[in-house]
Amino acid sequence: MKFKKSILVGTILLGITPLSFGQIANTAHDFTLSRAHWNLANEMCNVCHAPHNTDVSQAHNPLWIHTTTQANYTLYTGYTFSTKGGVGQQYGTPDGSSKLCLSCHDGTVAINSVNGAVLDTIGGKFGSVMMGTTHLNSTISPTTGLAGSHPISFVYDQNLVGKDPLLNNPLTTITPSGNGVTIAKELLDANGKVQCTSCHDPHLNTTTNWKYVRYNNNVGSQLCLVCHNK
Amino acid sequence: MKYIKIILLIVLIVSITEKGNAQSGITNSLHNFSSASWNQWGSNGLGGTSATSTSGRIGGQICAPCHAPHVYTSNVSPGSSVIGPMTSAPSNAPLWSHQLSAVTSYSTYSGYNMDSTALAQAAGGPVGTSKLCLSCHDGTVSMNYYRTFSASTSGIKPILMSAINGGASNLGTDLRNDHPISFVYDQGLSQRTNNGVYDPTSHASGIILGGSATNGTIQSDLLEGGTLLQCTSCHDPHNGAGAPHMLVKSNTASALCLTCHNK
Repeated sequence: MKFKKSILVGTILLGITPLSFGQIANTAHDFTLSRAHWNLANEMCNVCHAPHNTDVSQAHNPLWIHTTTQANYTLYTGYTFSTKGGVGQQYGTPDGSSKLCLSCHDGTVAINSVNGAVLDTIGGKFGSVMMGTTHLNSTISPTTGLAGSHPISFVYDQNLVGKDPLLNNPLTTITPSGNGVTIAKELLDANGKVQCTSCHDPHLNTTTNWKYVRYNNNVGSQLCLVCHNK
Repeated sequence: MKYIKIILLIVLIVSITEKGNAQSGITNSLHNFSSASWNQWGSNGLGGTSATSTSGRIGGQICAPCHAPHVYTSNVSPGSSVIGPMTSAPSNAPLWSHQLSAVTSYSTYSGYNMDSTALAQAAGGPVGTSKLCLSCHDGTVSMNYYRTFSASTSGIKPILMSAINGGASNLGTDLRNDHPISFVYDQGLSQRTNNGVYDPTSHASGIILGGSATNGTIQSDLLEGGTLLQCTSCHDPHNGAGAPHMLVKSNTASALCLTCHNK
């Protein structure tokens, strides 16, 4: 059963990330010791992932080990978003993979906090390493950050397209990745929701993809335009 | 011959209702900023995260001069009277990134025969989304002051709307010679004008959105918040209809004017 589960998780992981490897090195998500001075384990992945004893309380967990945020957020209500059906019963609080991102990026949980404990720091020198103090411009504050951000954790389906014809059909529109797959397959989570990972791939090479933004750093705004019919 | 005519007619109907005619969309408009000379995130710009940096190359951006997916600091809620440098996160804005105009009073249309209530509202000055348009189109803010790029960013060469296409789209701050905006267009206005402007709650807009007719009214399709007449009542900044002057629908035979004005 465990074996099948890891295949399933591996398949999910492969399904949600473009098939390219060796990209995360030397990016902000590379937590090896030379970059993350507090990560005594000197590993790249251990701040987010672990092979055992992971947190299964979050849905679709990709073998997650990082402490989950408990913050409440003020959400984006938008200009047309609220009138075009985006704000509905499924839009209430960030969930799925977005909650995993926010577990560092909302500035309330230490970057080096795993399952409630603090990762080995060098002789306790660093203690809890908070996003807000070390990486200020990647913090999405719970009170203002999401209100001023593209909405997430809402269902993007044909029903939504029916209410807002300026959205492309996620089931038929092919993305610019060159993989020949649709928005729904490449960018939405298993519940058909837009999440942080719809625009950001946390494992990408940030030399070509600033802030992990997909599709060659949204050149020509092609990431915006794959969903927005403008 | 009859069949050929029928086929041609069908082809014509299909082609004009086809989702996105060939000239529509922002990429086919003057709002395609991807290669604008002033756009530091355009294909001709330096592309970096600051005006002079080339690291983390960002190129060919169309949306960025107006929109940002994460607005760190902004004060752009439609209807807000706060203007100037961005200071606090918005809640309702369309994720606006362009620096707003610091102009506090515009001259507005003085009216010839205009309803006095609407005239008084318009005289209060542009509000809401019209302020977003005016953040370039009143000619006072440099085109490339968006995101964190501002007057204090070294290497930025400011450029005003007056320098674009000979100032053809520069409204300036004297709006007396422009169609009034930022007033309430409701049933009351229609009644007070003796149907000089149609009842917005029932009169069809004739708008086609994303290839299909909305079957909506003036109120549902053209008014901000269902009440305000704004720049966006006539213009679509994303050129959805592919009409000249980025109008929301073609004004051939003055069809757009006549959508509201009963002439």
